[in-house]
Amino acid sequence: MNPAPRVSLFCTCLLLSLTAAACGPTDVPDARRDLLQSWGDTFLFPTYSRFKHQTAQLAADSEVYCAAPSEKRFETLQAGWQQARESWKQSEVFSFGPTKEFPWRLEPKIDFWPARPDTVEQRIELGGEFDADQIGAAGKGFPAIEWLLYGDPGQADLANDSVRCRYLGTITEDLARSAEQLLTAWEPQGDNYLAELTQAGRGSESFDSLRMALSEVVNRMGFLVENIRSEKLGKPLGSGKSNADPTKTESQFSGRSFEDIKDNLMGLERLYFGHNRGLGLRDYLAKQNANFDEPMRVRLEHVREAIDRVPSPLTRAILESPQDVVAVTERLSELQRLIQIEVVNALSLTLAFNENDGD
Amino acid sequence: MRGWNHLLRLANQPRSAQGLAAFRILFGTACFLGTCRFAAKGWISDLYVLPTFHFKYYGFEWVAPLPAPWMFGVFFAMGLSAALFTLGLATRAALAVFFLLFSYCELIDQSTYLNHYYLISLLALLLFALNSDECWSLNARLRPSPAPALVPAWQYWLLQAQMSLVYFFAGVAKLNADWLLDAEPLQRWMNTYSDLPLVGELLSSTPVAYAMSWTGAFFDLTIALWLLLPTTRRLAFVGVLIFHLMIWLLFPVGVFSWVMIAAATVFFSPSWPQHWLTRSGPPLALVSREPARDLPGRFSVRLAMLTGLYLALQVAIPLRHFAYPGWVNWTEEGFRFAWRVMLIEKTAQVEFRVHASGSERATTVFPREQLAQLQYTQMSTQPDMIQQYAKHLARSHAADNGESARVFVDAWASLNGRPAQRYIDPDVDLAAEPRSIFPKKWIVPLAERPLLQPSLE
Repeated sequence: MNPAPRVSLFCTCLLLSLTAAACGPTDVPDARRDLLQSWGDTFLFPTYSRFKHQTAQLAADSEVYCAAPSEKRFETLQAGWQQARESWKQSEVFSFGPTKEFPWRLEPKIDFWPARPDTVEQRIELGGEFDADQIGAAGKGFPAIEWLLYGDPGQADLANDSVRCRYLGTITEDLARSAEQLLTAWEPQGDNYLAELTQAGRGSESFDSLRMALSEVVNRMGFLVENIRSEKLGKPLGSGKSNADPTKTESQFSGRSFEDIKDNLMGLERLYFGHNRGLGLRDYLAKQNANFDEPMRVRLEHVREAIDRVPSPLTRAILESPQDVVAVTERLSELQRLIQIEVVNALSLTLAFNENDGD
Repeated sequence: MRGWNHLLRLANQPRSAQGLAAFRILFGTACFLGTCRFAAKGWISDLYVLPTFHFKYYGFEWVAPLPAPWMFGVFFAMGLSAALFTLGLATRAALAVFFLLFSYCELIDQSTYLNHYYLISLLALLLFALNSDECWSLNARLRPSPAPALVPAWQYWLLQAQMSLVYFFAGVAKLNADWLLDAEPLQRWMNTYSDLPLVGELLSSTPVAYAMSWTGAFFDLTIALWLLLPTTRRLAFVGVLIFHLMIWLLFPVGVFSWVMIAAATVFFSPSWPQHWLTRSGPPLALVSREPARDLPGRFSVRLAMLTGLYLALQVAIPLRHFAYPGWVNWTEEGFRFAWRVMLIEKTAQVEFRVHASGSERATTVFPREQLAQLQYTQMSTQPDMIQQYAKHLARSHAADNGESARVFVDAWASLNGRPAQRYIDPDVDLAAEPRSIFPKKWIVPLAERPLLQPSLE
């Protein structure tokens, strides 16, 4: 046999193997699939499940409070709101799919911000029966509940105004319903959106390949950081000729703005390092001979330290010590750079949602 | 003069028109299917209708997208013209329409640039200039002739020269330390296939990355030669098939592989389709050594000047990056239209600071808010596009506020696994810098750092 046919035979075999690999059996293990599944099992489901129970408890507590208002019950309500808020903010890195897309599109129902107290007050003033489905996004969800629990009118108004309290009951129940829908949308026994990720390339409608599915989550980590910089800090801080504006702040009545950001970062950290003994992005990076553990740890720490240096709440900090808030955005920028440039480069995950062809 | 006459005689030697017709049909089919695929993926809307801002090529700032229904019409006409020249009906007109519409769409937005789109434009232009419908076309059926369908030899030469340049410059571009000494970015890309069953471990191993890098460079540099030589052509074509099918399987390159496989047939004997269809005897490459006087598209002094100019440009354009300082893979000055294919893994993060006149505080602009994802991805790694967006921000500020603004950029990038570094000088007002083809002094040079895992600086 002369060498030429031998070479072509080898190459043809390689090509056939590749084709077989591409169209091969569906139960072949894949580290990306394992990672996506693990994120679902050890991070997303437990967090959304907790969120569901916390919001259900919040609705129940609001019913109890309205039946017989008391200072202690009001504090329980506030604590319930804080706990549910913590879970929601930790899961924000998964802000795609059911939170953004129809038929669910749950994010506006759960967390439409900046808050619009006027919308809430106008609806309460109208009185009558409250139907959550007829209340717009600005009139319900976390910010509206926050206004009722922490806003100017305060506990006295809520305790003395049965209409107001009934409104609270309606929108806390609606929040609990949205939280339940969110979990159902992701769970295998529900709409199973997680399978859109884990079954990428095997019939997933949203992702043609595991590369795209992993890219979605990793890019979301970067976008979350950018979102904190641009929306949560940048807009309230103002820039150029616009002045600082506390009404553009997230969680402005409860003063929880920085806690929200810390919870966002906690979610991001859990995806990277793994949570509840589950896999983290670091495990997949290690398979690619890449290790960003130390820079990730240090940059997260730098952000948290910078946040701790800002006098809380954010609504006051943007007016009194904006330079400290700017310092937080700078530390966040370093974190974003690590994720969006170096991690993405190491994983060859170009930032793309509508993948056009390459080269 | 004797040399010229000899060249003229060689160029006008008649060849079977079948090879050219087969290429027209294969290329046209790829163009037609590519157009349908583009529409089916929703890219007409994503890339031309939805964006509110478009990146323009220098000198082509006047090219703008048509309103939505007309853009869909453009693609319909493009697909129709591809179908027409595939069938060989009103071939020249169809090729002209296809070339103009395809090039128009490419010129609308720089972010859609792909090397193979540029190649499609060039091949459509060349086919327009050639007599590709002398046989196997509806045109030929409508005016049947008892004489064999022939075209002059130069028509094959021109296509062969074009494809040779594409491969050769793609090979030359790979002659750099990243590609040859570090097997980057192939090693990085192949690592993502480590989970493939059967071949994953093999594909992601370092020796395979090196083997593929070196083989790829050797392939690109020499394949045209092997395809030209009759003794090696068969094996070379098997190589072309394997090379491009592997690329198609491993990377999202759309119709690129199919266009390249179709284009490799221009190196075959001109009567290869006849031989392939009938499998009777060896292909007859040379119909006659004597130039036929009634041959269509005969070579002439004017044609010689035109093709000479065209080929000189095709050589000069890929070499123009030598006129710029710095490494072209980093600066991207002279990167486009130069067959620098599948060469870099570059990621970047870009934000703009808009300073209103008289104000010390800046507005930070996150370009993702306005740009489509593809636009942002492309812009963030290409300095000329970063500058365009800076100028756009300055214009928008002036329009909204009636005053000028300075625009600075915070741009960081990583090339082939290097740690992220500054890409653009953050102290240069990009809006004030003139847009030109001259070197951009505000591109920060690539730091001489090895391809390392990141560490905190």
